[in-house]
Amino acid sequence: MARFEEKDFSQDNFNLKVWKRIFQLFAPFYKQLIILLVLVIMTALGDVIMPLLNQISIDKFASGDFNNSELYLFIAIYILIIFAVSIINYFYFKAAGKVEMGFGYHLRELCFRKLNDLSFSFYDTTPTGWLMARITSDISRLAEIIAWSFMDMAWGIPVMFMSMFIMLRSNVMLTLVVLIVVPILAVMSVVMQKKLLKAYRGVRKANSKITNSFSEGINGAKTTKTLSLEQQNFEDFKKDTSEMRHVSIEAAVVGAKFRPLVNFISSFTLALLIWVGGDLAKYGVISFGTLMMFIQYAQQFYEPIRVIAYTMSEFQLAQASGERVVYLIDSEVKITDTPEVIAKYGTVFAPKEENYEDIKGDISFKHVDFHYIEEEPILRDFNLDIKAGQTIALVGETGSGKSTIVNLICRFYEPVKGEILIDGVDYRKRSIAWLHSKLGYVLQAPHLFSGTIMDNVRFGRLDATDEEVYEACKLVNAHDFIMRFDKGYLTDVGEGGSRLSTGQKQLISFARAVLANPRIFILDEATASIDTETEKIIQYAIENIMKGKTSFVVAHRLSTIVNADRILVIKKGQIVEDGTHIELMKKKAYYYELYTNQFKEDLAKGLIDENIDLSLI
Amino acid sequence: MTRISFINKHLGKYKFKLLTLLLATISYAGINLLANLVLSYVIDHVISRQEVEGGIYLVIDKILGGWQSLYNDLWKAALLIVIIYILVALLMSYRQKTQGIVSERLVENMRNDLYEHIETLPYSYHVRTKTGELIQKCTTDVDMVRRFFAGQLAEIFYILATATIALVILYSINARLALIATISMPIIFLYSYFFFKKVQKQFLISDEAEAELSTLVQESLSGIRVVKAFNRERYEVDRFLQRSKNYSDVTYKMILSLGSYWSSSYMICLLGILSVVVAGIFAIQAGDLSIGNFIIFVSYQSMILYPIRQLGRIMTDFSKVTVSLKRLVDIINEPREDLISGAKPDLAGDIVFHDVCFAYDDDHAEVLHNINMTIKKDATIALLGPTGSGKSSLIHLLVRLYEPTSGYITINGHDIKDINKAYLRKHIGLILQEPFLFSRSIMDNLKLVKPEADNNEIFEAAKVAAVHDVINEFEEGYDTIVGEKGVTLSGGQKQRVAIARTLVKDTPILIFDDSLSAVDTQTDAKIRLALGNMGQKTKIIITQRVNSAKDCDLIYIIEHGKITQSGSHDELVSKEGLYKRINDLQNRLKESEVL
Repeated sequence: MARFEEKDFSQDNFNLKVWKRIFQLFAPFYKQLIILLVLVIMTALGDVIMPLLNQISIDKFASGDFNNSELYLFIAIYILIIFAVSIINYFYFKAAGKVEMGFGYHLRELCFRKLNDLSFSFYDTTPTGWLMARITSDISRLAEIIAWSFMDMAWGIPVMFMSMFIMLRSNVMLTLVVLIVVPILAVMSVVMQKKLLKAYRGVRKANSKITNSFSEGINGAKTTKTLSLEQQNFEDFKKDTSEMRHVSIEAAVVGAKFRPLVNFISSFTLALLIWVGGDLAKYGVISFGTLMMFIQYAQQFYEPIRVIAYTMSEFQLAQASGERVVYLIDSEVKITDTPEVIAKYGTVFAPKEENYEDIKGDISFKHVDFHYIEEEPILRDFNLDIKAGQTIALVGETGSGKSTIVNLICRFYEPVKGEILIDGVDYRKRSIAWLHSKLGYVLQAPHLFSGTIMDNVRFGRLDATDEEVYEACKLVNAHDFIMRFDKGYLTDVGEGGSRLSTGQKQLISFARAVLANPRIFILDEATASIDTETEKIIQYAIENIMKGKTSFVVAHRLSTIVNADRILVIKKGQIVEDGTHIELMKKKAYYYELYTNQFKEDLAKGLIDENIDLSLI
Repeated sequence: MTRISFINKHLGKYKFKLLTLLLATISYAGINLLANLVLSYVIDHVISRQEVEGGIYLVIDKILGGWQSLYNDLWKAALLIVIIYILVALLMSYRQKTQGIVSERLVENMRNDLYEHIETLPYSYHVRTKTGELIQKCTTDVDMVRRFFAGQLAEIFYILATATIALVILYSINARLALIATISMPIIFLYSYFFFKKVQKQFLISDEAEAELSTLVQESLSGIRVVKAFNRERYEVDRFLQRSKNYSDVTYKMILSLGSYWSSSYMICLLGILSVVVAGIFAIQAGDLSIGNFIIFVSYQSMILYPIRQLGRIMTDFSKVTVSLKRLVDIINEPREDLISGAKPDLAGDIVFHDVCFAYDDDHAEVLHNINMTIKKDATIALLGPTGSGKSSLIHLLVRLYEPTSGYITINGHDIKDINKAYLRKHIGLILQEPFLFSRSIMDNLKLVKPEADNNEIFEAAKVAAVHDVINEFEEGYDTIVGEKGVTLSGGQKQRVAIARTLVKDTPILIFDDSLSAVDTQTDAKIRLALGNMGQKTKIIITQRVNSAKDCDLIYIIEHGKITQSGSHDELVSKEGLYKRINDLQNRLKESEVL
């Protein structure tokens, strides 16, 4: 899986608050953490014991006297230890994997629940891509680092101390020889690890640039051809690849200094051990076995240092990820029910549907003020009374406030001042879930989820029977085209409904809304450029499906709304014209202008496509 | 081109560097084994005072000046160790640096070649290819190859060289014991090879589960309005948790597999070492082995076994590399479009279609039938017709994105099939209906076709395309970045920027392939008026709007791949046909106020 490109870290400093919060979130896994720690220390013990076994094999059996039963005992113990070490290793993997997956799952759940709780203002300012990165790569990284990298550190420290202890007990002077290079190696590792990280960051950046260039070059290939830009694009691309080569080789050079230098410095220990240790062995102060043991410990000693240095550099990454995840989890939910409302109606996740009142469908705006940003008021002292069962069309330019009105009715946003009454009661006195359970909502750019047609329609009412789904589809005239698919209702719609035409998606999204059997119906037409097919569907929906329910149509295509009960022309947050199509046409004001213009243009286009029956005019 | 020649071509002169890299790796492996020999020599001969019998120890003995003298000068042995490690460090450093250089040079050439090749592949290739897949190949597959050359290749050599040299030394010391040491090597190799082959599937399953999870999050977040409006938060969370659980479960299974592999293979390695330890002890007892050599056996055994454990993994990766290479070579083997050959004649003249017919290769139905058409120099003509009537195909033939099936097209008397394609396209400004803007600043987009253009030229072009004021309304004006990382332009704005971009080029022939479709009628009229004032140009306007066609010198009506009518507006309105029908209707509409 491609991981998202990491932005520069917010800070290098230790952020105690974030880590406190992370460990709070980690609380359900404390028990597993302790198991993991025990296993880690046991693994460390195994790694420290191995050189001891070799010492015994040299001193006791290779150079000393022994009887066979001692040898067999030694072999038996050796094998036992091998098995024990392997099994502990396996359980360590198991425990760490469990913590990684468990913690990741837990964080994802918290984040995703939060995302479903957050109100629209949050989504207005936060791009989906950013959220995706939090919920995928950041959480994975955090869980991975806590389960593995921190555990590596927890392994390194006991390994160092235990081997130091054994060495000290055996020979102080040789221990000092081994330890002499440790500070040098430690400092060097930390410095180099940082350098490497920085170099890799440069490589990642250059790499994402190249991916971008490829993507642009390929997506724009047709345009490139018509503009004859091939050569020029290629020249630009060559700059990117040469930069990539440059930073990559630079990173390789940093790496090429690091490991060899470490190896070289460790070799001094080996040389000193042969020199000093050899002298000691010469005079029988130490045995060959002991000398070998020291050599092995010296070679093993560097691994924990490297691991700790590496973990420390990863630590910043983890902190940056942690900061963002915590930010998301602790984001404030702007639109929420009061405790009293929750007590009566429950929450979105645990609703008390038995307390839900029915909706008749009267809607009133009482002195409503609204703005997204404080300096830019959208509605000011807005008043509107709508009777149950009416179809209301909202017409106006982009930014006039018509979509805002719909957003307020849906309680995607709440009034800054004033109130909105549904059946005479301020809707904030009932729960958001209550309102949404009575709402049918259709976007002009229909959003489907991957899965079957059946799944998508049933999204409107989860407990609907197959029969009810068929009924809903028949009502919106979708049944026939669905049955023409080989798999009928079990046809997979593809990601985002990509395997269906826009018109088909539209019909399914209508069927979905119909199945919900809402009291309030919302149709949000996003743009004026729709094809004839979609236009017909929308018209049909307005005239048949939405009849009898309180309905709102945010309209760009005026031809679709000629039959609405009331057309409201909105300008700068005010209703400037209000009436039926006939009334407004007679008025010959803004609506009239808009309508005739659009009609002329439609005719020209429609005729060319031979889609309009000429005899009608 | 084959995979080998593909690599060979892109390695270029770095082939030799690759060769020295491999040689350095082999010497590195050899020298790396020396230090243990020095240790063994010190133990057996210097400290235990045994005669040096032969083999490699004689060489060491010579270098250090004899074991007897060394007894009091152990520092010499220490110095030799340091020297050995200096060599090791230098070779290791050389290897890392060189494999970085070789692999980066290789992929740089590969990327450049791929990019240039893709850019010059014919239009039809880009129409039929899925862009996502192609991008994936150019990034992921190239990276597979890079990783192989950046480490795995040298690692294979290192492992094989270490094993071979170490075994040679071990066999020279004690053949029977060496045989015992050898046994565990194929075992651990086969074990790891087959394990990684098998676990590949689990990696895939985990990746797929993660992708499924991401898709759900993506869909759910982009459809958050629908989710909320239908009160489906709980439903979505349940679905999410189910997939999240599935991902956790399959990944956990994968971790368990890896865990069981690493721990069991660790066990095999340790048992392999133990077998040498035990056999070594018996050999010492029998007087066939010295303590120093015992140490050599034990230490070489672990120096061989652990790397071999990695070899299985590298070999499974290698099979993936060959698959990646195949995919890349397939791209390179697609024939390019010829942009180099061809004449570059003067193109200031009439454009004439002579009996042109055309069908797409993959679809034998003819889309254009016997088109005969003359477009006078500096005239403005319109092509009007329903969707799918063949208007765009006509234009694609004119700029040679496709070639006619029969008939030919001349410009200023020259058959365009003899004209250099790049030259031809540089003289024809074609604006596509759905133009692509590069995700850079608007200014950069406009300057693409003429990097040396000064700002005034750009502003002029933008004014003609009626987009200058729009751009200035953006906070950062012409420096506004468009696309994903910047401002998303509306369809109409995009089209207008594209028009401006083409105008900057100042071509004698301009073609608008329905490129005002997303622009409102008033702006459309404004742009056409401004274009009229631009001076001598041949203009071809493809449109569905009568208004856009009305003022043209000549209007061609195209229906079902044929020219059904042609003439000026006045001529066409007096004849029966599509054009008249539309026009009449519009007039009737103006008169009747009953709407």
